[in-house]
Amino acid sequence: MNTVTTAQDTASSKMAGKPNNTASHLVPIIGIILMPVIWVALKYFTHVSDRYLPAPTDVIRAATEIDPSVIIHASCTTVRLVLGFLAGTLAGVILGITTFNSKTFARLISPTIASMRSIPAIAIVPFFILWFGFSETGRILMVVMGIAFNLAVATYQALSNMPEKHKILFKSFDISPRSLTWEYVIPRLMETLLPTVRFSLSTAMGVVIASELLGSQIGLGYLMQTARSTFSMHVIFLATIILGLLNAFVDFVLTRAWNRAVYWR
Amino acid sequence: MSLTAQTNRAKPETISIDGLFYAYKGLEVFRDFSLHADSNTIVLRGPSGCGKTTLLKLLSGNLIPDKAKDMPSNINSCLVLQEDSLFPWLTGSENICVLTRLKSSQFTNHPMYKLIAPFVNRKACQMSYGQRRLVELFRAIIFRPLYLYLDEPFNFLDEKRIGLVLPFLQGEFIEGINLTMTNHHRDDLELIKSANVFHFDGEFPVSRLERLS
Repeated sequence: MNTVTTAQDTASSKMAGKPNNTASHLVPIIGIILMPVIWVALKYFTHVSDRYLPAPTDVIRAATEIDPSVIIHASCTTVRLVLGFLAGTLAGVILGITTFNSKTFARLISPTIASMRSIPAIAIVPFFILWFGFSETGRILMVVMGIAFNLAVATYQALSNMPEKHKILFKSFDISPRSLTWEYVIPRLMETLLPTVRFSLSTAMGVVIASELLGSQIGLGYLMQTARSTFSMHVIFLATIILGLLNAFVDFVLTRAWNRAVYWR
Repeated sequence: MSLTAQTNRAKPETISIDGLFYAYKGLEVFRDFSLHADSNTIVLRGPSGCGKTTLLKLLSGNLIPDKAKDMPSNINSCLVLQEDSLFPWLTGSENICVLTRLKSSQFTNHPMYKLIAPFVNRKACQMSYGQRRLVELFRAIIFRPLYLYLDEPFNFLDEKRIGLVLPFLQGEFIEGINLTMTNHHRDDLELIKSANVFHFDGEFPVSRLERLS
């Protein structure tokens, strides 16, 4: 009897010490539901004009009425985003590693990188439209330009600011980290670059949408542009919601994949 | 490359320091510090934070003294810190090969290898701290620097493993190597008994160390 009681007491005390899993799962669900609830409440209880806030039902109906389908627009935007983001990340990391590996190159290129990264990504869109027209190549290059320089700087910083114990290790064994690209440099970058890469993803999305707003026949940005010209606020809302969900999904996939790759942490 | 005595190797000189000055972020750690050893094995004892690790870093060239009349050369010196510095994404074997530039076939016959053989092909992140420590010590010993500095080499090791490691820190395994190590919790190790032991009293700045043997 005493043993059973002790076991029950232990189980109870353990349960009391653990966080309430049901409550912790409910909180983000409540957060997701909150925005539509506020939207509905504002629309139906305060009677805000459609010009400022469309009805949720109109937004849902727009998803079925748009031709070509909103899925096609979203797919085109996604492909541009993924290709541009991957190419830009690769270019930025290679530029950063090259800068780290060669002091001469670093001194040569640093002023250019510093000035280029301070130009807002959206400001480069007109240049690329004039150079490349409305081509997909131009769109992808815009994203590359928009994110590569920030990533190059972050890469260089991550490699230059290595932990003291690694500096001592390389000195002790008389070996340069520059000669260990796959054994040291790449894994070290994987440990440190995720926040910058996630930020670059958002920037890439902004550049893609800006390029579609200014010159495209398909995509979520094009959808918003045509909706603006016809005062179709419900379509703008629809495109914006899809953009937000798309960004969140791609960020989620990126973070999960990255954390799996950095299995040692 | 032979992993035991190399007959054509230059012999390291015993540690001799004169007139060393070093301050760390405004704290004067060493002031006109001198130390002269007559053995190629030195043990530095003292409480935590007394300057032992700082001295090892100065000797190995990882810190630059503010001023020094005489310091041993830091070329061909290897410092193993007390904190784990294996790359967690590589196996123990890869950690050895990448840093020493040796192939695994060149060190698997070393007598100390049997201490690490059961786990050396695991990723470092899958090893315990004690296992990582053994791999780091093995790596430093087979690298055969002229000056080997070990900071608390027996951290994370149990009594049995310390006993297994000790033979490789003396005799033929460190012939041609000047070994300096810090130690703050084991007084009865046979290695320590045969070494020059210097004691830090924990007061700053340090000018002299009490020699215990």
